Amino acid sequence: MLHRLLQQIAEGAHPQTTAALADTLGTTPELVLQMIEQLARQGYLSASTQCADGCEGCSLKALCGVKNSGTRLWTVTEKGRQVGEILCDFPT
Amino acid sequence: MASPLANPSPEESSTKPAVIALAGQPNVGKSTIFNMLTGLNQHVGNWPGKTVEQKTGTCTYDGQKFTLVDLPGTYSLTANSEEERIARDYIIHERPDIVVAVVDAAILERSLYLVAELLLLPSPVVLALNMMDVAEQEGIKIEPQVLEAALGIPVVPMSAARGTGIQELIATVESLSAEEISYQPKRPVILPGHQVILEKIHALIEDSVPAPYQPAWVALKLLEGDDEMRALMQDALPEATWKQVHGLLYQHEDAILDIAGARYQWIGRMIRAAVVRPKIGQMGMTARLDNVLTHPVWGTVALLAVLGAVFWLTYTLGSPLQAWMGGLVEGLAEGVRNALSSTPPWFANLWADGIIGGAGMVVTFLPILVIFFAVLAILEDTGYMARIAYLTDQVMHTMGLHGKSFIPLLLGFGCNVPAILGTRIIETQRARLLTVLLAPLVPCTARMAVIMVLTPLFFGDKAGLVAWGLVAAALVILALLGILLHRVILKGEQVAFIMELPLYHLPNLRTIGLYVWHNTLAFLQKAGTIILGVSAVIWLLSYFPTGVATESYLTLFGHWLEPIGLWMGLPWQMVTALLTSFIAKENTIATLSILYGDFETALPAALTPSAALAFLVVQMLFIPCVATVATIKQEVGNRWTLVNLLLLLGLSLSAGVLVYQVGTLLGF
Repeated sequence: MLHRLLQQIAEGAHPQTTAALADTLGTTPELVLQMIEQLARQGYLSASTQCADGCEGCSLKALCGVKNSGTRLWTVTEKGRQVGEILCDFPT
Repeated sequence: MASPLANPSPEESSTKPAVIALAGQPNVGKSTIFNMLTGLNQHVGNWPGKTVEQKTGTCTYDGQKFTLVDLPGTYSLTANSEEERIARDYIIHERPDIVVAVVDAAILERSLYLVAELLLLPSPVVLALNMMDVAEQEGIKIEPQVLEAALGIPVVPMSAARGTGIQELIATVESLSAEEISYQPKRPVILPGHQVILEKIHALIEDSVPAPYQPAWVALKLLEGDDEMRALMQDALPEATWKQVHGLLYQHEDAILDIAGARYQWIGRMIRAAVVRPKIGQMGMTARLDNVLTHPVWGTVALLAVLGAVFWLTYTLGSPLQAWMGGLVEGLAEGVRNALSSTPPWFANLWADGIIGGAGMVVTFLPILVIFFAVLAILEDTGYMARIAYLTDQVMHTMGLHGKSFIPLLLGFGCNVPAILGTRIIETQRARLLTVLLAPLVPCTARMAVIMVLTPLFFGDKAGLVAWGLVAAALVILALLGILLHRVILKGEQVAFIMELPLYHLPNLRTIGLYVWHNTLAFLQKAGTIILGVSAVIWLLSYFPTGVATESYLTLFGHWLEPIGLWMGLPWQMVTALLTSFIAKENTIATLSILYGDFETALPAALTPSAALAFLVVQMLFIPCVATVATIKQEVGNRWTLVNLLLLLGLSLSAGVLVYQVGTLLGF
């Protein structure tokens, strides 16, 4: 299940919501979210920080961006991409 | 391979009270159950050698006494935290007679991962399906009997907060400890990909695993990358054997995906079997709104309507205020000129035209920005901004960007400075850099003001069409340049990502107020420092050495650039005017006024239609104002600022030459 999820994310040509991924994997958004957090813990995904690197020292850091809205983003890390690519070449 | 479940063996169970350990995630009602069962018969202390609170207590049911131990709240048993280590060490070393796994019925998926891990430990597990009332309120129906059959362990539906199910829970615990009910847990199994490796590791460590650990469980944890078990086995195994085990673990670092993946599959099966979710008609507000607002067609229509409303609101409310502030600034400039009439003329003019006229002009845009910031803050705080990012991602992705780049680019229509600063919300450095490079191509209000003043002079009643064509052309060029930069220069990382969309909610006035205040303050700080300083310098260049504009250093430089102007059919005055737009876009008009006098009648005669269009195109694509350049430098450094300036300079001049040459060929 985690392999398939990582593959879906790595192959994704556009942003994916937990609801859409849940549809694809035949499960619930809640479970997808849990798996995403697991993949992030294992270093396959990285959870975005609230601000980009350039925000260090910025007085607006606490206010700008996605912090207030509660949006969370995850991107695939190099480690995750490697596994995702292997899976794309040799579907399991 | 042996089952990781050990035979329950405490022989003293007949003499001592049976021990029940309560396990579960934080906030699933574990403490409520503990308190209801033990009442006043509880003791609070710390776990030995730890700072984590330990609660123990006793209760009696049907004449039988039980000792209850409240384990720390944990999400798994992977030794990631002190709480997880305490919970699993207690179950392994103290081996309670029964583990009651408390789960939240409303978010069953969240709780079952821990249950999957508990089933691998020696003690038998009873599932306390708590918060059934909350699940019911959410429209979630759970069938405890089906879940019981699927898990193979006793399941007790309950609602501790309402006091229901407590008696049934303790009765089930008593029956299970007396072996009156069957216990046949259906545990998750590792996916076939790594089953063979697990067996190899099991075989290598089997004889060396210290008691009370189970070799099968230790092998699994090793493959999961559990540091504590690694340290344990490194000490316990002969060095050569450990090297073999370590080699296998190193080669199969991704085994966790198969192990945890199998657990999620197992959870999925349980949920499918026993949980019925609310149907479409019962969906929450967020889901219903998202059905429309994230739909490719309806969502785009809604987005266009929202953006239209944002611009309408900003300009309808902001423009009269801007005109009013413009009047104030002009009045102030005249007042200062009069007040300084006794000083040398250059000094009075520097203050009136250079400093107040330059920096003050920028400040007049403040009302528009304040309204724009407020509207953006509302969109952000309600959760809609995340949907904008999601919807626009498709287009942005072709440029190597994602939807979040849309937000700063949108800000660019007001002013490029907050647009560049706004790129800070973009996580990846590459996407951020690309957005910074593209942002100056978004026509800001100042650039649009110049276009709006000059276009009617050249094109009369067709001015509206020409102006919209210029805006559209700038945006098409922005998209094409983005694609080019992405494909040729900045090719690189994939931007595949997942976005968790927040729930819609009413905006918080304080949050919005703070957002507007801090952004406005940052804008004013810039206007009062960089813009003010540079305005003064440029004014001095346009005044000295003789005090006559046509003999100034700036004009000399304009003459030097005359050959470039000729390729576009532009006299040197036009090139100089373009050059002064580097300070602030509006300077173009001021400079033309100085160099031509009555430029409204002089200009149409001085330029052919092709040259006029070429000038407007260059004006539209030219390097941004100095405040924007300074901000770009601050955000991406000298090298990329230079690249951006050369790129925009080359792009604007090439486009101008192309327009003029083609227009002339066509006879315009």
